[in-house]
Amino acid sequence: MKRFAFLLAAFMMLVSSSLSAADEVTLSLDRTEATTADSVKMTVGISVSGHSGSPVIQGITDFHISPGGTSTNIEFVNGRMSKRTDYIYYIQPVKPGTYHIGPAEVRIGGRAYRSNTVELLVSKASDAAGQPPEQVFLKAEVSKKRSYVQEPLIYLLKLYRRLEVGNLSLNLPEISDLNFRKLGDPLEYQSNYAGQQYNVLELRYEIVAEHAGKYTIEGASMGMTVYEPRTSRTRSPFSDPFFMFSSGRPAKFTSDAIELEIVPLPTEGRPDDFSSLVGTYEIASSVEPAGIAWGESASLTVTLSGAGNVTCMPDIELPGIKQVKVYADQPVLETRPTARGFEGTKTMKWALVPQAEGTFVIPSVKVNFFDSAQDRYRTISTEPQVLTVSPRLEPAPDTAGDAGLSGKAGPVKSRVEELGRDILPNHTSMKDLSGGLYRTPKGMFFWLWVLLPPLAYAAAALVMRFHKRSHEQLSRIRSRGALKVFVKRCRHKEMNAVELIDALEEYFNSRFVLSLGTLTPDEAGKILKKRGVSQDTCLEMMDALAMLHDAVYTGRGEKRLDLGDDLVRILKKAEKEFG
Amino acid sequence: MRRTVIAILSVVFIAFSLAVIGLAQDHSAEEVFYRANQAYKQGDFTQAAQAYGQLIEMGYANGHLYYNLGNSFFRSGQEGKAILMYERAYLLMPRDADLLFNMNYVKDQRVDALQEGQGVLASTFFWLNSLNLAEFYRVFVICNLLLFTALILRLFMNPSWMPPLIITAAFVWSAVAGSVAMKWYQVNFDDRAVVLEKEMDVLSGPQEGDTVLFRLHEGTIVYEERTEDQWVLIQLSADKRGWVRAESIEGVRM
Repeated sequence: MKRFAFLLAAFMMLVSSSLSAADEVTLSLDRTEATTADSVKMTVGISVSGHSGSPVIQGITDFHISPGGTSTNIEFVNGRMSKRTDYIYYIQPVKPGTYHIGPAEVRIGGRAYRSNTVELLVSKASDAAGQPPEQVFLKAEVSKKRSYVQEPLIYLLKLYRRLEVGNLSLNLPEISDLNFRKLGDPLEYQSNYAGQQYNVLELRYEIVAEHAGKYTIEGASMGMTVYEPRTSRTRSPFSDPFFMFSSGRPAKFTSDAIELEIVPLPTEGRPDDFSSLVGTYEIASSVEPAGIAWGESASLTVTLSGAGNVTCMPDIELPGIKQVKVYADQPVLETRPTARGFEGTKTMKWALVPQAEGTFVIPSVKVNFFDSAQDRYRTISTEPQVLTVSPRLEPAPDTAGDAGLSGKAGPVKSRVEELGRDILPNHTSMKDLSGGLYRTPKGMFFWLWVLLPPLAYAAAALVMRFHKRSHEQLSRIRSRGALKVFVKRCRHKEMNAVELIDALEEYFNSRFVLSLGTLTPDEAGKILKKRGVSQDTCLEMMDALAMLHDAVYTGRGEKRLDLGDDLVRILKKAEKEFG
Repeated sequence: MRRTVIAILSVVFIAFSLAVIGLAQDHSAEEVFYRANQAYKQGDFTQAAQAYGQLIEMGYANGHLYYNLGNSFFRSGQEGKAILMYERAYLLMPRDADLLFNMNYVKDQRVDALQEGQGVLASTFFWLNSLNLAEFYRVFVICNLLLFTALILRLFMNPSWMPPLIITAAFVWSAVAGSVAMKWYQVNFDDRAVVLEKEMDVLSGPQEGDTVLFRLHEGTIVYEERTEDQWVLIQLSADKRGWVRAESIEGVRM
């Protein structure tokens, strides 16, 4: 009983710990860089089941904080409910600096949960004093006005607005030798400019200059529709902001031009094998596994990562290693946009197959680059790695205990070694005498099998064609006889409407190989028209048939009519006009 | 009536005589084959080679006989002829494991270190070496039968699956027909030849006194370009061409 209670307690502990591990509290910012004039959106997400109060966040004493509300998201996945509550805050830094915000802490059911921390770099807002504040304007900035060739720069475009805008379109300046690459999605936040609160739409681009020189980045222009607020003093019955703006007017805003100086990379200290890499980089290597048995292989991984012109990261060549066969894998380059430009990681792998036992030293590999932060060339290299190759592992010899457990153990395995070389013997069976050269297709049977199927197909096609033609001829003969039959029926006696309709249906069915139940005037017209009969004749036939139908549906169906001759005339006329 | 009886008897007699001659020839071939096998077993490889060669001349040219002939030449120290016979056997039975083993083994014994290419045709249409010409004919006959059966069925019925079936059959038929044509070309226009001499000088012209360009050894496979008198212009690679005496090499083509 005690044992059962212990197991139950252990199980409960396991379950509760797994639940805690699955829950989490996260802290995130919508950006990693801001100015003292900007407000940053901070979100604390709580996925812990149970009731919690507002989170307590550390590291925000130097910020103005405005709560932005909460949102809750409930999901059912595979019958399990998961709930996530996001607490949103807008924080505005008071002074510049680098801030570590977090962790956010919540207490649920007597237990404390802590989030991660995030870093925010705050710079001083540009001095906008003296400038007349406008309702909407576009501002462009670059991270540095003087930089090196191939050194990435950040081009920042901010649309400040105090009015509602829509239908935005952007025209970036086009300058040869300057490549623009978009960095992430546009950001929206609030910022203070010249004492006014604005909504800001921020777009970031990375610029890389191919050649040295002085460049002027012309202003970027943004087209949009601006919605002015209504001037009427009467309050709208709808207190929705949408109704507080008039219909928009088109507008275009242009940012100021920016002067840029690109200088060439210094020649002093430039390595001979400089790879044109600019930025900040790190290199690391590892051998997995570090110890193997002879005949097995290990994998060497070299990772080059950093920020800068990451697409220029070179493919590293591994120096030859004695008694180790090296097979290079295809390098993999992964890039990701950040607020400070593109970061990248290039992973290069080699399979190492030692040809002997012992210890092998994998030599270090190096990469050089220009460190734009330190204004000098740097060479980084990996640590030499050691690979130990032990003798081939042979299966352990059979032991009495093992044999007793498994019953039969296999013999000790050994490598098959070549002891001698020779050719295999002759083929001496009498059946080896059969068979021939077949240099060219010979024999009646071959040609019979090749020619018989197409001949059979041709014969079958001919038979089918003849059969079809006979059927068509028969139909034609029948259709020609249809008029004769109709004429005979009509001239034999005066007929009533029902009989005439019946005769007409028989004519149409026979003449055109149809199986109509009831012939309406429209159908008759369509059938004749389709066969190339003129419009007048079709109308005549439709009128006559409509007259017959009228007679039938007005109770005069049994009354004798003298329409037979007219119908014969119309049909004869139609026969002449058939295509 | 009497004439008719005589005619029938004559036809029966001729047919019987032909059957007897055929049987006699078969018995004769079996005897030669038996003698060749015995000679090989007893170590008389020259005699065995003669007997296998005799069978091939009698019209029993098949892959097994060329293989046995190759073995006999190898045992009698003629590696060049052995490789030549193995190459011929390979055209007739390309998947025979014994042949592939022996051919690789004997080619390993060659002096010249050359990378042997398969030729443009065989390397582009890699499946050509999977079957011999007779097998390609059989595959073509089957595809032919399937295609036209589908076409005949199409005349009488037209279900929705029929058009894709016919298109597929036509595609396969075309591919197989093309393969048959290429294989036929490969077999009948094979320009490869094997060096039969232990060592052979390749000259710059078809005369004894011409400059020696390079030297080849027994078993090396070269490509024949053209013949003048008793001389053959051969090519080993784009930068190795020259003239050799016709009796120094022998073409793989049968």
